[in-house]
Amino acid sequence: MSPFSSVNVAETLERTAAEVLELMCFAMVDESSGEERPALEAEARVAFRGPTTGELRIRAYGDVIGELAEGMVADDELAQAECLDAWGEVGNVLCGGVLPVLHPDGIYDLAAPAVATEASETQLTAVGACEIEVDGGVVSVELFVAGVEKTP
Amino acid sequence: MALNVLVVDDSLMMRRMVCRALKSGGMPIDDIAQAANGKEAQDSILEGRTFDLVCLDLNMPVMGGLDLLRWLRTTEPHQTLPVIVVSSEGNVDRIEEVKSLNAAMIRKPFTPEQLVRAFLEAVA
Repeated sequence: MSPFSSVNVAETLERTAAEVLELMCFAMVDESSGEERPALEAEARVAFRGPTTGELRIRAYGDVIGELAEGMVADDELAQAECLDAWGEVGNVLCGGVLPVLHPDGIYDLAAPAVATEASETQLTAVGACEIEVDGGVVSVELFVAGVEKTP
Repeated sequence: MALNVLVVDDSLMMRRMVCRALKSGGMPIDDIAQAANGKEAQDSILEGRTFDLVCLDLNMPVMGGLDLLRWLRTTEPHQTLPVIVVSSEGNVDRIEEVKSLNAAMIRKPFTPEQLVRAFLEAVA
């Protein structure tokens, strides 16, 4: 059973992600159309420890992170490293926004974001996911926790 | 009077975002210095640089924002240095400690208007 089972995790992820992308990056967000995703551009993983151990993972598909980073600082000549730094910070802010909603009494420590341009694997169990469309592509958000048995 | 501001955050892009929000908000700023963690900020202060306001993230490597804030509040002459904590921290206990250390707090993601309002209240 998920420690976050008392709330709708996917709905919380989607609502918080939309808020973060709109406020931080001035992005236009929309519900996923369900069409096939473009190629993976980057992912950011933010591990957390507390009453529950886990990880929030956001992935950008298409041509997304440059647009979002540009929105953050109003600069259209950003280096790839700056775009990846921005993507990590989006993940950090998103994780920091999601956990208090899912577990209001929990005290969590967040690790620094791990950003990569290739998909990583995890042994943790997914407890919720969402997908939203932004300018240039798609953003997916997934929440994983440790020690939760997968439901059959 | 133009003010000297120190922005402390481990994300370069977040530091740029804070700087941009303050400048575009028309704040009376002379200079904005940056530090990537609490230790860099502490070193800068110990070297004698003076600041009128600190914008401070909490969750950073090497030395976190709460440790820097506790140090400021116990070290002459920085006890009354205005500090705005700009963080995604959602834990009630930590937020209460920030407030008990006489710092303002705004949550990430923030709007430029929220930061400007906090700036004006902090330096009033």
